[in-house]
Amino acid sequence: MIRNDNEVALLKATATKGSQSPSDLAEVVGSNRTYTLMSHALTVGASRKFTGVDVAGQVTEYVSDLKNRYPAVDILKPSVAEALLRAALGEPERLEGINPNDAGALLFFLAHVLLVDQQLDDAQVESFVDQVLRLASSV
Amino acid sequence: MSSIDEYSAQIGAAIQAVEQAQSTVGQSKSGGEDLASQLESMGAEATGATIRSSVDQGGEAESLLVEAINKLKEMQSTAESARGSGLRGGGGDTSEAQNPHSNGVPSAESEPMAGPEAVIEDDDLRRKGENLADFFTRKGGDVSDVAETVGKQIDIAWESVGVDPTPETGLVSSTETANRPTFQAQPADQPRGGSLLVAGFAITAVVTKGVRKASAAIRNTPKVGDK
Repeated sequence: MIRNDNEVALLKATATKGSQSPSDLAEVVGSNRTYTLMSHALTVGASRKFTGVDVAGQVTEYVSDLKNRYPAVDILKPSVAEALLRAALGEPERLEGINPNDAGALLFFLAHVLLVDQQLDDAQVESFVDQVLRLASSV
Repeated sequence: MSSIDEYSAQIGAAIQAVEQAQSTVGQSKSGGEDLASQLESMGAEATGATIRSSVDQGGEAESLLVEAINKLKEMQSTAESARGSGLRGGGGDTSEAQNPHSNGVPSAESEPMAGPEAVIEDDDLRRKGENLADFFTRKGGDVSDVAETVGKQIDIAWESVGVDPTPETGLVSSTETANRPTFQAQPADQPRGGSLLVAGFAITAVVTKGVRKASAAIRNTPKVGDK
């Protein structure tokens, strides 16, 4: 599998605590590809975080916790955040009625915070990058 | 062809190869038994016994081959049943019953998996990720440039993650944001005009950083009347 340096940098920034915003990288990678990578990143992060029977309850609790932790992040709208996370867990119909442009920045934020919360070491970040690139490659 | 199709086809080919080996061993065993009997009836018991010993070893090999075939068929059956049930599109209920692999994703601590489980989970995750990406790239229809539409929002939200907000304001101090790890855009191999494009992005990145540093400096400059 060919690894594009900019895509790798985008994903590493997503999984790294305290990294600078990857909006410049997103511009270089391109909109569609960036959204594809970030969607897979969120799916991987959410699948690792939310396990067990009451996934919906866990998502609600997590979003509520995020709202308390990051009161200054005004894009963090609980209903949209829950819809994005549950879509990432296999319920795409949750996104009906939501404007993609409104949810775009939140996709980045959720993927970043989910991965940062998992406190991956360097090897685990590499593994995450490989997994996302594999998932985002055409079959 | 999906990963499961490919995987199943590979197992099918392996089963065929093992069955062929089994057939060869079976024929050798049968021929060896005949030969040993003939030699023994002719009085060459020692040679016959040696051949019979080899035939017995062939029998062990045959048992191992049968075991291998059974194992391969079991793996093929697992892959086939996963294609038939667990990988239906759409989503819906995320309960354990319908989403048995939601918690089976390799954890940060676990080794990368190989084999049918990895294939199944990759396909399941890929489908979920693609559905989500479709929302932004196709179903939305008019998603415009990511940096243009949400770039500033991403910058603001990103700044809030990774450092602990001050208890009073919930904001991150400028000194804390100064030493963030950076993952710079790299020049890609571009056709004509590509290098200019990359240079443009690099200039944009440098200017953006300059503005950020200047903003931080302004915020840190004591105002008139400050003590």
